[in-house]
Amino acid sequence: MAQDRLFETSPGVVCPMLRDHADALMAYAERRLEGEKADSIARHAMNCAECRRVIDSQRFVWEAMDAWEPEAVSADFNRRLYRAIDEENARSWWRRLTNGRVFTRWNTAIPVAASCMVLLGFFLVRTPDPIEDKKQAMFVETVDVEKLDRALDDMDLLRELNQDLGDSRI
Amino acid sequence: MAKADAQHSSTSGVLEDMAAAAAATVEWDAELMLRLRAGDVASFSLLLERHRSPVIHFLYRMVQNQGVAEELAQEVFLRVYRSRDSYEPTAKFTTWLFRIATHLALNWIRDHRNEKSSASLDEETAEGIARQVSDRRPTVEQSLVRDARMAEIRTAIETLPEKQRAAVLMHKYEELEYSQIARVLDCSESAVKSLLFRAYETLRARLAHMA
Repeated sequence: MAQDRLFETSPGVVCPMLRDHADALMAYAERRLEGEKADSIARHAMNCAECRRVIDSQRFVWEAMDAWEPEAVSADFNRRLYRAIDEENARSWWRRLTNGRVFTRWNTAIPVAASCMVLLGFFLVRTPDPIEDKKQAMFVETVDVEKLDRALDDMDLLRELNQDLGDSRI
Repeated sequence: MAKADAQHSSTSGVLEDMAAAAAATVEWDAELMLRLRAGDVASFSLLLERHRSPVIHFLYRMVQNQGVAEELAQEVFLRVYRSRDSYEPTAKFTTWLFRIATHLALNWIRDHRNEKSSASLDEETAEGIARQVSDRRPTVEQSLVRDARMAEIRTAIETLPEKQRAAVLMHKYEELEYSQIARVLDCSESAVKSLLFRAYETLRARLAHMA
C-alpha cells in the first residue's frame, strides 16, 4: 500500500505501529491522545527509533507551522464587502432572476418559454381588433347620420303639410 | 491510583465540555444562517465577524498573498450571502464555508500557476527588519534567522500539491475533522488521511535540517 512506503523503517519493512495506527501516532504527536492509547504509544516509542523520529519531526513541523502568523486583515474589508452586497442588491430584477447567467438549461428555459407563449396567446385572443372596432364605429356613425337626414327630411315634410293644412282652413 | 483516576476523570470532563461547546458553536452558526434566510441581515454580520479571520488566514496560507486572499474571501462571503435563500443546514456551516473557500483558492492557484504569488525572500527580510524595529527584537541576526525559517516553511507548504496543501492547512490551522475535510475536498476520509500523511512526510523531509 502506498501509505506503508511513507513509514518504511528500512526498505520493505514498516513498523506495525506506523502501518496500522498512523492516526493514533499523529494524534499522539499532536498531544491530543490520552489514556491507555497514549501510554501504549509512549511505551512503543521508547523502543522504536523510527516512530520516535517520526513523532519528534512531526512535532517540529507543527511548531514551525505555529510560528507562521498571518497578516492582519485590512481595516476596510467589511466596508468593501457590504458595498459589494449593496451593489448586488441594486442590480436589475432580470439579472437577479438569472443570477447574471443566461438560461443554459433547457429544463428551465422550456417551461418559461411555454409560459410566455401561453400568456401571449391569451392576450391575442382576448384583445379586440381595434381596426374592426373603428370600422363598426364608423358604420354606426354613418348609419346615424343617414337616419338623422331622413328624420330632418320627414320633419320638413311634416312642416310643409302643416302649413298647407293651416292655409286651407283659413 | 485514585489520584490518577481523578485526574483522568477531570480531563475527560474538560474534553466533554469542550466538545459540548464546539457543538453549540456549530449549531449557532446554522441558527444564524437560518435567521439570515428569514431576512435578518444582522445575522450575516455576526457570521462575518466569527469567520472572517479564519477564512482570510486560510486563503492567505493557500495563495500566500494577502491582497488575493482578501479578494477571494470577499467572494466567499458574497456567495454565502447569495445562497441565503436556499440554505439548508445539511452539513456544518464551517464545512460549507471552507468548501467554498477551498474551491476558490484551488481555482485561483490553477489559473495563476505560472505567476509568482508569494513575496520574495528579500521583501520578507525587509519586513522582518521592520518588525524588529517595532517589536524591539534583541538582534537583527535573530530576526533574519526567524524570517529565513518562515520563508522556508512558507515555501515548503507552497510547494505541496494543492489538495495536500488545503488538507494540511484545514487540519492544522482550522482543526477540521477528517470527515469535514473529506466533504470540503469531495473525497473519502481515507483519501484525506492519505493526503495528510503524504503532506506531513514531505514537510518533515523538507524541514528536517531546521530541527
